[in-house]
Amino acid sequence: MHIITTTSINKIFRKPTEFHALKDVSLSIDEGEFVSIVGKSGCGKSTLLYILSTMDTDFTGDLQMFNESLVGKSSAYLAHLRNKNIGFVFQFHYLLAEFSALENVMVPALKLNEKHYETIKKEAMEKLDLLGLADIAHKRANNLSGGQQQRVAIARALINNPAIIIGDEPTGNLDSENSAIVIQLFKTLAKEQQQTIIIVTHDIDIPKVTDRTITMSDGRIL
Amino acid sequence: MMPPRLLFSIVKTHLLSRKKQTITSTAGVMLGILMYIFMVSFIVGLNEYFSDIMLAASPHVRFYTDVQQDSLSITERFYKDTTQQVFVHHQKPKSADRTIKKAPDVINYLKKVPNVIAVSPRVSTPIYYTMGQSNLNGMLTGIDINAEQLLFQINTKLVDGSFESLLNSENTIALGVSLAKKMQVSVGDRVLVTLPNGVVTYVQVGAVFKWGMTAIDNTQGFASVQTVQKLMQKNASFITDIYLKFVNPDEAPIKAEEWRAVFDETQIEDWKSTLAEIESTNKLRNMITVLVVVTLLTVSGFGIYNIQTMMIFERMKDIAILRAIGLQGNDIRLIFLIEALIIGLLGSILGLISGFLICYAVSKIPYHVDVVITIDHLPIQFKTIYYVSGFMFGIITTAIAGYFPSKRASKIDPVEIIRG
Ligand SMILES: Nc1ncnc2c1ncn2[C@@H]1O[C@H](COP(=O)(O)OP(=O)(O)OP(=O)(O)O)[C@@H](O)[C@H]1O
Ligand SMILES: [Mg+2]
Repeated sequence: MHIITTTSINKIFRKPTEFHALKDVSLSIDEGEFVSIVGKSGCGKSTLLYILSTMDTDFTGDLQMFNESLVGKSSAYLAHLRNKNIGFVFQFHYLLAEFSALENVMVPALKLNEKHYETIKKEAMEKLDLLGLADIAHKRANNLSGGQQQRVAIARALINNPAIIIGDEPTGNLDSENSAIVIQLFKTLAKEQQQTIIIVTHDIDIPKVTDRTITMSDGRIL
Repeated sequence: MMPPRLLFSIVKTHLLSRKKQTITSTAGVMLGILMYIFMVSFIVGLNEYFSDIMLAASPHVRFYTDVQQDSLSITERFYKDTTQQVFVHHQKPKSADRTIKKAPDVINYLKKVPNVIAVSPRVSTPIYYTMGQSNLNGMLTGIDINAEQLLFQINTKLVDGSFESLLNSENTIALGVSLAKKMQVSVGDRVLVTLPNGVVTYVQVGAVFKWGMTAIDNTQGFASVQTVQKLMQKNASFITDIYLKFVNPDEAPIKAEEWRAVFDETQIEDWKSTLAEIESTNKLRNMITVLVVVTLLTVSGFGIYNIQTMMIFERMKDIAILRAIGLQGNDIRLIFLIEALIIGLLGSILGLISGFLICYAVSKIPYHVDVVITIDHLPIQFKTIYYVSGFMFGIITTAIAGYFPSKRASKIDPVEIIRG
């Protein structure tokens, strides 16, 4: 079953000069699929991810999720959809600098407001533990190393057990050991929890272990 | 809307992790409110204190007879219907008694009116007080001690002697404290008085009082109605003024209006017209106060606006992340609005407390004034309404100052920022 379907998506940046960043992108991704997206720098991978994550709504073409078109949906609707169903790890792993690692991980769950505070805290700790971060849980985010921050961001993307996890080079800052842990974790989530995982990567080893690799070039899917 | 728990944990973290900005904003509001409280308690307080004193010292309704110029002289009246032009130059006022017509009847009538605290007939005359070489111009007023006690609590104004002495023996008077001082007399001394009708006699000082109003304390003497009537060589129905007060002052203007129709030969004045004079001078001072306060609040409002705008600019990344995670534009707006309101709340409360303390301190500093009214401390007013309005101003200012930046924050497009 397709969980995400895009139909001839085009994205044109108008400022500073007109730039056609995505050209007729059509793709379908199945539930529980682990997909990697590769391509040269500047080919439009991040641009595509922002559209898939529902944050960027300024495009032409159709984006469907759970067999429902998201074109024209209100920003409140999309915000809730993101909160509940999409976990996103940014290319430049952003955390709330003034909050602790644990608090960062808890925020999406607190917003979703489906569980008790204590439960959320416990689950957030579990996610951090999964990524080997239990001992830095109470450190402020801006005191963490780049790799630690990236893993906290991954833990945060997982907290609501979203149907879709989108990562823009989620292992870009990790050593090979931690990178392997993260990829293994993603594989398990896809296999055992039927979570769909889409990651952009420059690591040549990662596409070998994902279910499918989408290659992009100059705004198109090859 | 996001759950309050998340909202407050974000707000708390924001406020505590930028302590300097939080303190600056809070201090700004605090200063504004402090100044507001002080200005209002001081200037408006002064005005109200002044009005209250004037009001307490004046009756709610006053009956009196004016020396009036007849509009038409007898000559003019005689030739009224002819074509001839008649002028009467320098017409003298009709020599009329300043007594209120049928005063005893009027007094009896007024005493039966419900909700009247007391009716006090008065007999007033200009007088010369003579003591040795000093010749002082003043007033002597015959009063009903018991009625005046009900109207003006004259016993509380007593400095020396007693008002009862005015009743017990004839030719006994009470003098204003400044007047007595100028003549260097005290209770028991005798003063020579000269009346306009030529009567010259000695009277004994039975009491010295301090009304608190310079004009009265400088010139006024009191005696019993009978004493003054006798000095003026008038009979017992000679009454120049009737003072009265109502339980509820608001009744006075209404009743006064009715009475003007009934007692059409008598002037009837109510406190609203007396107060109108005072209030017109108060208005200017109040306006200046309002201007200063509005300026202060605007300045602290702009302070908050600037700091909030700066904070939002610095937190662009946070806003983008929160939006990406699933917070809505409204959630973001709420975060920054609540932050501004907390600053406003904190600043206002601190402002109220420090404003109160400063007012309290100033009200304890001795400060002697003897112009118009006599005071020995600045009459700082402590009225709940000043504090309630100060608090409201603080909150409203910060709400407005926080609203626009927070609205802008809610409009930030997260993708633009996350793209880097
Ligand atoms: N806001 C923007 N305005 C104009 N052009 C943009 C904007 N953002 C991206 N682009 C352009 O769109 C193209 C695609 O950018 P994108 O960030 O998707 O590349 P990418 O494939 O993720 O590259 P990388 O691997 O380096 O992250 C680039 O050529 C970039 O210059
Ligand atoms: Mg990219």
